[in-house]
Amino acid sequence: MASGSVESLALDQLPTALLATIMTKLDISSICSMAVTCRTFNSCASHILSFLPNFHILEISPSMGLMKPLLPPNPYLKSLKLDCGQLNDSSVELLLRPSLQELCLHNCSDFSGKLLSEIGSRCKDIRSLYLGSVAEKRGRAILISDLEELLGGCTQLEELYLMFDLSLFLRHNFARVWALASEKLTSLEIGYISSVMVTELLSPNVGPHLYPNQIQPSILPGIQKLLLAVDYITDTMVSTISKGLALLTHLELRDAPLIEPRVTFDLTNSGLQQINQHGRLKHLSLIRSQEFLSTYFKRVNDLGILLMADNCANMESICLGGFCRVTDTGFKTLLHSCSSLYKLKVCHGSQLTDLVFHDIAATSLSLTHVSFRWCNLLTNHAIRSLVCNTGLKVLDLRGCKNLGDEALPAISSLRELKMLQLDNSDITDAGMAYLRHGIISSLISLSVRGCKKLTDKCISVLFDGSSKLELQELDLSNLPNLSDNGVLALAKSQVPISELRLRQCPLIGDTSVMALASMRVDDDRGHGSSLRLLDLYNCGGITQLSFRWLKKPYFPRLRWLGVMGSLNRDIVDALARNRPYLHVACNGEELGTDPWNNIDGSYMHDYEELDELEQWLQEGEWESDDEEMEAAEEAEDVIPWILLGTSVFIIAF
Amino acid sequence: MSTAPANTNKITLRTADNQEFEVDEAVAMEFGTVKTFFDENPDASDEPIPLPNVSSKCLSTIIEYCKFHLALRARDDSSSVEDEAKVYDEELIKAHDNESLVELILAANYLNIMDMLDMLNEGVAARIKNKSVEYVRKFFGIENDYTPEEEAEIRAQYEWAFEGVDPDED
Repeated sequence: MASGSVESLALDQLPTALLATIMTKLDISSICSMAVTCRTFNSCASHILSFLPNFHILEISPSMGLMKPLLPPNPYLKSLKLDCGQLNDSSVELLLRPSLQELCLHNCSDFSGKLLSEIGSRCKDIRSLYLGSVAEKRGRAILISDLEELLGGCTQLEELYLMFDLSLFLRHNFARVWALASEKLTSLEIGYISSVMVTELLSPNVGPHLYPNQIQPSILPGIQKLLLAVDYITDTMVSTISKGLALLTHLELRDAPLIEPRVTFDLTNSGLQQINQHGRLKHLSLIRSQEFLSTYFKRVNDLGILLMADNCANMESICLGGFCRVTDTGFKTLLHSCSSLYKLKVCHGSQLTDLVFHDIAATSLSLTHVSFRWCNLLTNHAIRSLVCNTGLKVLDLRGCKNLGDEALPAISSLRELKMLQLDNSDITDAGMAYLRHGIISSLISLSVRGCKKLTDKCISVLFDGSSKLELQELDLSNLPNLSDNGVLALAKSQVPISELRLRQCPLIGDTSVMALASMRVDDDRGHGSSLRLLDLYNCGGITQLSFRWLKKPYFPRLRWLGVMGSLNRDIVDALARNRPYLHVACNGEELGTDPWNNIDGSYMHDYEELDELEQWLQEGEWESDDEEMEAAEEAEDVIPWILLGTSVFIIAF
Repeated sequence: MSTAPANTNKITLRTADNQEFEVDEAVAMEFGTVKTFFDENPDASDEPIPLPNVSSKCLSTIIEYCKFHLALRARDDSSSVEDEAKVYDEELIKAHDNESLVELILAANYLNIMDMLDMLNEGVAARIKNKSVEYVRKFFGIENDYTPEEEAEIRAQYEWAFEGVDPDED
């Protein structure tokens, strides 16, 4: 790298036209950054804004004042992605352009449903539309007419992501409105909808207001990719989807029951049998989230999986969450039937044991993404067999308590491994040494959250500064023996990490923050910490002193910060003022994570909950009594939806 | 009489530092300027074509690039072709420091090789993406021509953009 001796080329050597071309390849924040360098670039930048095709600002929530000068009339604007946390209906005029083909608006809680109808009338050429959290603020509403105008107006729509609650619409209108959707629609994701609505939407039936003999045209005939979060995954819904969508290749269903599902409102073996009736399915994901209640697909056992596997020989990706009654027989069948499988994720596979992988080498599988979360019976033997899949890129073993040091040499042989998660396993410092000799140089993301036996030594073992590492994300949360010395060693090793999580580490204190602030990635530079995300929630030794080191100019790249809310509120507010574009989380919420990755909200709960399940398993409380169901029915009808701030009403049948 | 030159014809190019390169016709035709030259002068003799704005170092890299991509296109095996092209391009960018990249851009611009120019532009853009203001100034050799008041004003205006800037590496 030519550091001090770079011969600077005079600006006039590169013609302005070329410079402008280079600038057009940059994102908007780099363009604005360049505008500050000199006047020529400033006028280049202003000029570019009138023909820039992509405008993406997702890391901060810009205000209207910031946005206005950046979005002049621009007939070439094709893709707009924005965090709309500070915008509302008055921004519609500025944002919605007829040239747009891709529109992605997050955090639209302050908008009303008018946003949808305006998109329908102004952005007729749109192909891909993502809308997050629309009208979630109190007092805002979405009307069915808004949805109608959106679907009717956007006739070229191919991908639609409505990441908010659609269950509040009246059911009889719903199907009629979706009939207006573009025929080109191939991808649909809905933030929340009730399974009854889905079933009714996709069932071919005779509308009451039409001629009795007329059959309704099929709804959403072109859909290939369907992702839904519902209240209960039911047999009826699954079979309606499988029958109704002939081109379906990608199906992801997730539910989060608030009460134990009754037999008519649950997935059973017969539902699984209905999957993939048209033979095109390649990706399947069925997940029961533990967000509100510890609940599982108790009515599905090996038979269901066997029946499903019959139909699914072409599957490439399978994710099963909450199938606690499926044993090795079921999982093994999947591995042996689906020869093209590259992705397998099992969550809460409490009966999954090492035997599943016993002869995995005999299959011709080349798995690349493997996840076994909360599969307590897995031991090191399983991992040793699993690594015959040498192409593994992602290995997620969170919550597999019985994995220990002996699995690590095997894992270390995976040369393509990019992401490794060993949360809550039994590994020690000695085991981590194996990682250093193998994969640490290619890993991008490593998590050892909750591996309580680890101490400071594992940091110095892993990061001795000898080789150039690719590591970007490191999770050292919930480590009771990790102290400031460990973080000091990390800082000294100059690993260029961008995300560091140290949640709930009682021994971590101000010294760690100081060490990280002065961490240098390159010897020549000053306070060059490369961290974009730092989570110090509930760290025992953090005091007000740390906040001096969190202010500018330290941590120049920091965008996400997690701290303990109980610290002096004034100090936190002062920091927020010093760094207006920093997201500060004070309530322990996870930072910057992809919500679909956090499927059972397990990070929010105490780990002790798992032991409750084990106890329950041991006591053999498996039979689903009907008496139990009735008792649950008699329980409260109305359960407030605390976590997301919207109300969900359960109607007693 | 103008006839299309045969495929095995060699064309000689002379660089700014007086080095001569003999290349296949097909490769030379990738250079927009050379192609135009032959289109306008179909009877051009076998004399070397002068390229006063291109150094030999640049030209050899450019010739390698064109040869590689021509061969790739001839193979017509679309999926792996794309990947291979990508890998080659990435390696090329990696192997050059900032100064030589800019030199290459100037050469590709002069020779009018659109694909290569586009690829190089992307490479440079990736290098200056998210970098600090000072880094970009150094990269292009720019003088700061703002008055202190103007600079303060414009920095405040775009503060959000370089809040999350990379620490300078190179």
